[in-house]
Amino acid sequence: MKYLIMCEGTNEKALIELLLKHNKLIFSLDDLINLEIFHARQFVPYIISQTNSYYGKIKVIRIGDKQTDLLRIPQELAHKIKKEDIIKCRTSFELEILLIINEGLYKEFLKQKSKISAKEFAKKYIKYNKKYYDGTSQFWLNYYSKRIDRLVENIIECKRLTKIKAKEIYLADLLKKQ
Amino acid sequence: MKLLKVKINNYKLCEENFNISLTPLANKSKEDKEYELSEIDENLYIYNTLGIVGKNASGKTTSIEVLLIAYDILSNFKIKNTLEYLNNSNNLKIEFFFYHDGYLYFYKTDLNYQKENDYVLFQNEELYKTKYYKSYASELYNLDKYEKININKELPNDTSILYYILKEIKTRCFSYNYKIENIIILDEIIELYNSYNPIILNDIIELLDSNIKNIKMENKNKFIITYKKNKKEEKNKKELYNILSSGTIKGLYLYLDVLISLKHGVDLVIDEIEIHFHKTLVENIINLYKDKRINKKNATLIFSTHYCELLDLFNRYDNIYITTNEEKIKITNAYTYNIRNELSKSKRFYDNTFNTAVNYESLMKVKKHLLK
Repeated sequence: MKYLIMCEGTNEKALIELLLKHNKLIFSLDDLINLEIFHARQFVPYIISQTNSYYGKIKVIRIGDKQTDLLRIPQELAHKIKKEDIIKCRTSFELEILLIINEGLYKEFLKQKSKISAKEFAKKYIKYNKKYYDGTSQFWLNYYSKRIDRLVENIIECKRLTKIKAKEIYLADLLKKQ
Repeated sequence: MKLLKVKINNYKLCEENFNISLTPLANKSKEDKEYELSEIDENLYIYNTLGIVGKNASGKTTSIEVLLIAYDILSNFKIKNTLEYLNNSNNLKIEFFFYHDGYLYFYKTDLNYQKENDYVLFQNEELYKTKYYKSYASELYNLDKYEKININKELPNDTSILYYILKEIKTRCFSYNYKIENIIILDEIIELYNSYNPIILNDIIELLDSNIKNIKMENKNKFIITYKKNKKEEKNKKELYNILSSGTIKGLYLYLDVLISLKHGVDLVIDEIEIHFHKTLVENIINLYKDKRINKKNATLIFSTHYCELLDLFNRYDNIYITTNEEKIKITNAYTYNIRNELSKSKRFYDNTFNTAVNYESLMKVKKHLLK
């Protein structure tokens, strides 16, 4: 069995790659189809072709916030991927909530939540190395790459603050037990 | 004359009783009789096309060689074109069934390479024969029906007794070999095309290279090329060879082989058919053999390929052979696999139904090096 990891956004992908690199996840690079984390919402031809060389079972983990769209399994993969093997992994809120938690601004954010999104809030208040958050993957990598443990703590805290829904897992559930 | 089945022992890494059949194993639908099979005598069918697939180093080329050895004996009555395959052979045993002029034949011989003379010796030859009847169709290979032919051989020992049976036939089988293409015979190729039909040469050139309208041969070393915009150039043989792309030259050779094969009803054997050609061209060639208006004389196209999408052109499974190599080369008819219906043949190939998938772990090992 191999995992096929599909991230909705490039920032999710960057964070998962960072955690993977530091061996913080329940899977290793070898456990991933084509040694790769994909950035996609659906099975695009590139992903389909990459699964051709592997003929065992595949477990799909979709990582994103809302995931309201249904993941369509292409016919050629139907025998490798069953519906029950598609796992929704929610980033709880918007991904920026991790930055907000790390900066100790969560309570402040809750006050403004009705007026401003987490992303806009982060852009307004969060700075790293004299640079405001700009929504890029590079900012995320600069912000967390030298303090992975903080990232892990923030992910765990984020789940604690989330109303858990059945049939879903959260980023924290992908973390290796310490 | 049509080869029906070949079996070989002691050849390279082939497993014991390595055999390939050109006659159907599975039921024959009306559509198959129209497109996939040729009826060479009443109720005696052979494949129009036969594909050999397998992963790298699984024995596809070796399987092609086995067929070519049989065809070499049937065509030349000696080991002539396939000598390079047999120059280490010792006690090789080959046997094959073939149909010729209303009769079924079974032939067996031992082949031993003689280093000092650089030829292959035919030993312990035996030939059996039976008249073909419609009722024999389901037991073509039942030797009880055959009778031994006693031949008083008065031939050199590098020559097969099949000479006595088949000496009247001119063209029997040949193989397309992309390695032999060279400048020396380019003029001969163009001459051969012209002897068939000069117009077809131009159409094939246009198909292979859309910039060239036609090539006219004035003499063996003088050619006039007309380009698309009617610009003309005079070239000698060497210049012509350099102007034409490698794909165009190979295409000219291949299409000529196809033309001869279809015209005379002789089998054409091609190793790695997809090399150098656009998939559409290859599909087109395969489909020419399925069109009875063109393939009037029951020629068979035998090819090996990595390009498994080509198998989706086949309506049957039994004309697909799968090679595998685990210490010994094994060839298995795809019909004998337990197959689910919802996937195309090519998808099954990649899906490892036939144990032909490239090893995933090996692929990832290489990729890991590149990731460093």
